[in-house]
Amino acid sequence: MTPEDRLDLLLDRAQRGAPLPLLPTPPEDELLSAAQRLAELRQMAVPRAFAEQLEARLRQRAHALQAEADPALAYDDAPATLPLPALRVPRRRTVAVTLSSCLALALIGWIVLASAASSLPGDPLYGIKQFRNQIALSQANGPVDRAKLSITQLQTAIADLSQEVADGHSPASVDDALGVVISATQNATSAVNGLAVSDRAALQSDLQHTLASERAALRSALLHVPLKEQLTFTTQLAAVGDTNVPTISQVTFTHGQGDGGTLMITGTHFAPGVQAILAGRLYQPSSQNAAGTRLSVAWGEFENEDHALAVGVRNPDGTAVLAAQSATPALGATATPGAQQPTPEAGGDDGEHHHGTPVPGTTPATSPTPDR
Amino acid sequence: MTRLPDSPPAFAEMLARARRHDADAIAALYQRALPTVYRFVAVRTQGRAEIVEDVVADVFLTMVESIATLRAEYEAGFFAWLLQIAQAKIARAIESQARQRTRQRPLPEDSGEYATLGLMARGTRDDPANLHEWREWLEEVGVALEALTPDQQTVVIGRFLADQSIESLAQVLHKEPGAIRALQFRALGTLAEHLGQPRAKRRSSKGGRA
Repeated sequence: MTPEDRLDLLLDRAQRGAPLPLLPTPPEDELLSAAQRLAELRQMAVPRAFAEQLEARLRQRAHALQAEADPALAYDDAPATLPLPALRVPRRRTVAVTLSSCLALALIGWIVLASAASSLPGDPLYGIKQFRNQIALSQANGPVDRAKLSITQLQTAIADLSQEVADGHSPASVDDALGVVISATQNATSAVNGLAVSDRAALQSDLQHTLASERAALRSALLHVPLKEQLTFTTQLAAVGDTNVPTISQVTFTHGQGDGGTLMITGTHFAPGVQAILAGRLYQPSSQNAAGTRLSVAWGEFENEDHALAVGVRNPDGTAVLAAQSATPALGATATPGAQQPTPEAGGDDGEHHHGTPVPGTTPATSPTPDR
Repeated sequence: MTRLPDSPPAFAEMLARARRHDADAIAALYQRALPTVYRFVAVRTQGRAEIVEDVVADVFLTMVESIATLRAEYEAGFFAWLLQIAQAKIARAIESQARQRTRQRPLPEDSGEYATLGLMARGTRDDPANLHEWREWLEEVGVALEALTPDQQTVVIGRFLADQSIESLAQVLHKEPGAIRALQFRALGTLAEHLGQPRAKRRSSKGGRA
C-alpha cells in the first residue's frame, strides 16, 4: 500500500467516524489534522434568508428561460408576483434581441442603400435610389442647396445613362435611363431658374456645363441605340440646346402617273446620307438638296394609302426626328411644322434600310428594294 | 424542498431536466451545491460578506443560464464545473473590490463587514471573540488554499467540502484514482504547512494564555 493509499484509507475512516485501522505515522497525523481543519468549514452555515431568496430568483430565471424556449409555458406555474431581480435578466435579453435585430436591419438597410446607390435603371434597387434622391431633394436646406443637389443628380443620371448604353442593356432600360435624365434635366433647370438672380449666376455655369455633358453623352449614345431611342435621344438633345439636329417642317405626297408618286420631306439639318423614316422603316431618298433642307423618296404602290404613316428622317450621326403628325398618302399631302415625340409605329426598326418604294408587301420587281 | 437523487442515472436525468430549465431540477441542484459553493467562496474571499453573497448568487445565476453547456453527467463533474465558475467570479470580485478600495476609505475592522452571521460557525455568532477567531481562521484557510494548484484545490474541496469520492474526482480531472490520491496527499501536505495548529488547540492555548 502506497503512502497515498494509506492516507486515503485513514481519511475515509476518519470522515465516517470509524476507528482507524492503522496508527497514523508522524507525517500522516499532520495531514489528517489538516484535512480535519479543512472539514471544519462545514460548520459554516448558509444564511437561510439568503438561500431562500436566491432559490426563488433561480426558479424564476428558469421559468423565464423556459418561456423563451417555449412561449406556451410562459409563467404558467410561476408565482403571481415576480420580484424585480428576476425580471431584470429577461428584459435585458429582450432589449439585446431587439437591439440586435435593429442593428441587423440597419446593416441590411445600409447594404441595400449602398447597392442602390450604384444601381442603374432597370435594376431592382433603382427605385430606392430614385426615392432616396427625392428625399434628399425634399430635405435640402433652401433653394440653393436644392439646385446644387439637382445638378448633382442630373450628373449622376447622365452617367447612369452612358453606363446603360455602354453595357448594352435592353432598350427598355435605356428608355428608363433617358427618362430619368429628362426628369433630372427639368428639375435642375427649374431649380436654377427659380433662384434669385444673385444666387443664380454661379449655379447657372454649373448647369450649363452639365447640360453640355448631357449633350455629349446623348450624341455619343446615339450610334449605339435603336431607331426608337434615337428619336427620343434627339428630342432630348434639342431640348438641352443642341441646334444641330434635324427638324421637319413639311411632308408632301405627290401622286405621279399610275400608282406611284413622290414623298417630299422639308426641314433643316438633313445631313448628307440622311435616310427617310416611313412607318418605322428606313429608306434611302431618291434625291436630296445640298442645303440639307429637302429630300424626296420615290413612292410605289399605295397599298396602305388609307392608313396614316409616321414620316421622319435620320442623319448618319443617329439624330432622328418624326414629323409632328402622321401623313396619309391618300390625302396627297400633310404639312406639319416641328418635330414630335416618337410614336409606337416608329419603334418598328428591324435594322433594315429601305429605299425607293416604301410599301410593305410589294414585290421587289415592281417596287424599289429596301435599303439593307 | 426537492431532494437530489443520489444514483448517477437519476442525477444525469436531473441534469437533463435542468438543461431544459426545469425549475424544480435547478432548485434541487442548487440546494445540493449551495453549502459547498458558499463555503468555498467564503474561504477564498476571506469571509468578506459583501462579496460572498454577490458571488454565490452570480455563480448560481450563471449555472441556470449556462447549464445547457455542461457536458458532465455526474455529480462530481457538476461540482467541478460550479467551482470553476466560482473561481472566475471570485477573481473578478476581488479585483473589482481592490479597485474600489483604492478610491474609498478603508472600513474599520468591526464595522460589520465580516459580521454576517452566515459566515460564522455554529456557536460563535454571539461571541465577538469567537467571531474574530473565525475570521482569522477563514483567512488562514483561504491563504492555504491559494497555495494549492487548481487540481489540488478541486480535490480537497471536492473531498472535504462536497463529499465526492476519489473515483468521481478522477472522472472530473481525467486522471486515475491513484493520481487523485497523490494529489490529495500533496495538497494536504501543503495545507498542513500553512494551517499550523488545529483550531481547537489554538482556542485552548489562547484561553490558557488569558
